[in-house]
Amino acid sequence: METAKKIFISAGETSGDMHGSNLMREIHKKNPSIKFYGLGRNKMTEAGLQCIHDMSSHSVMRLQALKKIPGLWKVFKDCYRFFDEEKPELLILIDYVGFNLYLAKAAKKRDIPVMYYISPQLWAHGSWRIKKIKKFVDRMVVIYPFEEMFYTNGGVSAKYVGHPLFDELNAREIDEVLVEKIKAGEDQAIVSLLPGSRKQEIRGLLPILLKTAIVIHERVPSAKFIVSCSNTRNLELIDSIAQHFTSTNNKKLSIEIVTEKISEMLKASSICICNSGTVTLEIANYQIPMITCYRVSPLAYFVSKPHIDTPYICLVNAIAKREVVPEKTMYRDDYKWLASRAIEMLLNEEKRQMCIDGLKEVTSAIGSPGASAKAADEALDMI
Amino acid sequence: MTLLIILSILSLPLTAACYFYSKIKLSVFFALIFIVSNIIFAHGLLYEDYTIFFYLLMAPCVMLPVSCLIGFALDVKYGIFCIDTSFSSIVAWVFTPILLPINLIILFLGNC
Repeated sequence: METAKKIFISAGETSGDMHGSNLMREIHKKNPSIKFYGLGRNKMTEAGLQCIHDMSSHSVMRLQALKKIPGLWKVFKDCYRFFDEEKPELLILIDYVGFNLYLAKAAKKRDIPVMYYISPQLWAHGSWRIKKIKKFVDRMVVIYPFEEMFYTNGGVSAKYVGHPLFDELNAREIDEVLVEKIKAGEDQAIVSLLPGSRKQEIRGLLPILLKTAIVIHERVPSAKFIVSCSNTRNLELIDSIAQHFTSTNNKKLSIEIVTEKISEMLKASSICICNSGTVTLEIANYQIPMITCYRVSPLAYFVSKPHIDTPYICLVNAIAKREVVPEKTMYRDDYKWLASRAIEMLLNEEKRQMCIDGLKEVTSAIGSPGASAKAADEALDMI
Repeated sequence: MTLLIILSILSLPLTAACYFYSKIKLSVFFALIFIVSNIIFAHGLLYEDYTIFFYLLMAPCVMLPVSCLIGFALDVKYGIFCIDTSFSSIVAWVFTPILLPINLIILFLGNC
């Protein structure tokens, strides 16, 4: 009797966990006998992962990672032991490059095929790292159209499958009642402020977004401001920053915080001011004009500038290969720039329409669902 | 000594400017001038009377950043480390420039 095939799958972050769970379900649809082992979080566990380590307690950014080294070392050891004892048919890595590349190296040593789903953004910075990908990864399954060319030119087998976010958005049901409730009045301009999902990002960006809101409010007094809180864990932080800000700066400025119902919030918005990240694609999906920024410290800006290989940090612009939405890497509190672009986008109908047309172009290029299913085909092809 | 001080002071902004505008070879050239002139500077000020302090200064400000940068250069050329070695630039930019103010402070204190 043929034994069930084993796939080892590793995702470290929340988004990776979501995309990993969707991929697992698609693979199961096509081959129900496959067993999944690996590293993930609750969504992947719900999708049938036999979790060797829950990564919720291991996911960290930058210097915090140093504190987690002993814990991560144990995770590596357990993975290596699993590779030796169980010899899985395939290793699937999802994003989280700083960690996953070590697993790829270990798997390669043991002749386990490696598929990398959701590539690290090497095209944006540190493109020399493609040499490592070439050494350790057998196939890159990429989510942006230009990545396929990037990897193929670097001698890595790559397949573009589309962005799994659009699978998720396609399946999501919008609460139209809530959309209307957020809109409140027909004439009111709704300005959504999206400071990011990590506490570090929120602390850095939200005060700038609130300063921007004050400048917009002076010019467009009817504007209503909404701050997104993508995770309830951040609600207290967002609330405390917003309250402190309004009490010390502008008591008339009314700010509403919307928790988790981000799609409804975006749909109700006239414009969005956001951190440049995957959320820009979600905003593009609803064709809402946006202004994006990326907050870095002056030292980080100075040190990283020579390593940046793309003229556009914002994904929407990178896909369009032109500036569809205004973007800026900010090493200081440049809220006046954000406010002037936002006011222009609110009041200048021609600019607004140009931006919407550009967003339509981007979503028609990458906005079709089916990425997880196509990635599943690639995985099964490698077994 | 005056020439050494001028070289030490001028080479730092030149390194930074070349680095920022991605003139990497020129940046390495000025960085070498900065490091060598500051090592000689510190050697003249400290080595004879405070040898241990001289080495304590060299370890984080020269040896650590230079070894990180060599690792980074090898990684860029051959892709040998799994870790993203671009943090080496941060290490270098945080630790190496400290040499100059320390040398100038020691010189100032010595002259008082």
